[in-house]
Amino acid sequence: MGRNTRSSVEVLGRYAGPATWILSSLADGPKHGYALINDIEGFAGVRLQPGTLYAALTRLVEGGLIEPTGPDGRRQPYRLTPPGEEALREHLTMQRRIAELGLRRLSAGLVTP
Amino acid sequence: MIADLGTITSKLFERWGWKCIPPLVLCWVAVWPVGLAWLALSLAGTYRDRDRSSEARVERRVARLLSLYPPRWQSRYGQEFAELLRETIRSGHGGPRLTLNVVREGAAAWWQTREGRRALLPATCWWMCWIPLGSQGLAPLIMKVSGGTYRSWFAALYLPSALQWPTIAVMFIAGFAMLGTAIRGMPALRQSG
Repeated sequence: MGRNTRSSVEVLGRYAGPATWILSSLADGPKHGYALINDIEGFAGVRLQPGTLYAALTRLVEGGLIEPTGPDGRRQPYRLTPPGEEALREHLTMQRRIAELGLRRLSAGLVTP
Repeated sequence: MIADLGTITSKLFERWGWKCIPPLVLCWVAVWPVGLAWLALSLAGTYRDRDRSSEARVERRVARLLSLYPPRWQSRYGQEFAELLRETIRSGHGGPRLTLNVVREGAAAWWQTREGRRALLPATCWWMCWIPLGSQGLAPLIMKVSGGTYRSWFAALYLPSALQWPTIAVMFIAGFAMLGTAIRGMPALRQSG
């Protein structure tokens, strides 16, 4: 895939994995940091460390893919923006294509032990 | 090393006789214990005055972790990140992995800032200049002057004798150049916190 066709999520480099998890988690409504960590642990089986979470959150905010909502006490919930929704949809569609292709090739039994 | 201290002492004794004994005794018998006692007392005082409740311990740890981030990042995300750190520590996930993660991401956040990048060279020079100045400059100089034979980690003393003084001089020049770079970069270091 060429550089110009990279999605907004992929531009995040080493934070692309956490970014996808964060965007997926926010797809069902705003969440603050600790709720994001627990939700991601629930569906991805990975417990993000606070530093990694906030590094990815910072980049997503700067990229306009998420935005803060009104503060909830000392917590700060975030929600998806329309460009964030679009970037997530595009990224997951591409991931699904790759997953389907890989599974199809695996099931064709071309891999020999 | 002890043998060399003995060599230095005997050289001093040869040069100044018994007069060198009181300052040596003062250094080795009085200065170090006084320094250590002062350090122990100040640490004990700090520990005694410290609030040892679990909440206070969490707050101190959160403040230490937060201080690893640049001031501008702290002013934007500090309050919410501190709250996340509190919740993480209270939930039992505040082990060394948390510290390592915050250290790594804090350094990455510094690297994102112009003042962080500008402070990198002077900070590196400040921490490293003591190697050429001290252990590779002053220490071999003292060994050469005192006629000690212990070479230890002093690179210059492993070279042929004709190259030893030039090497020591080069070490001093490099050390002072690094120290100068650090001092010149002090405004950038202060700006970066």
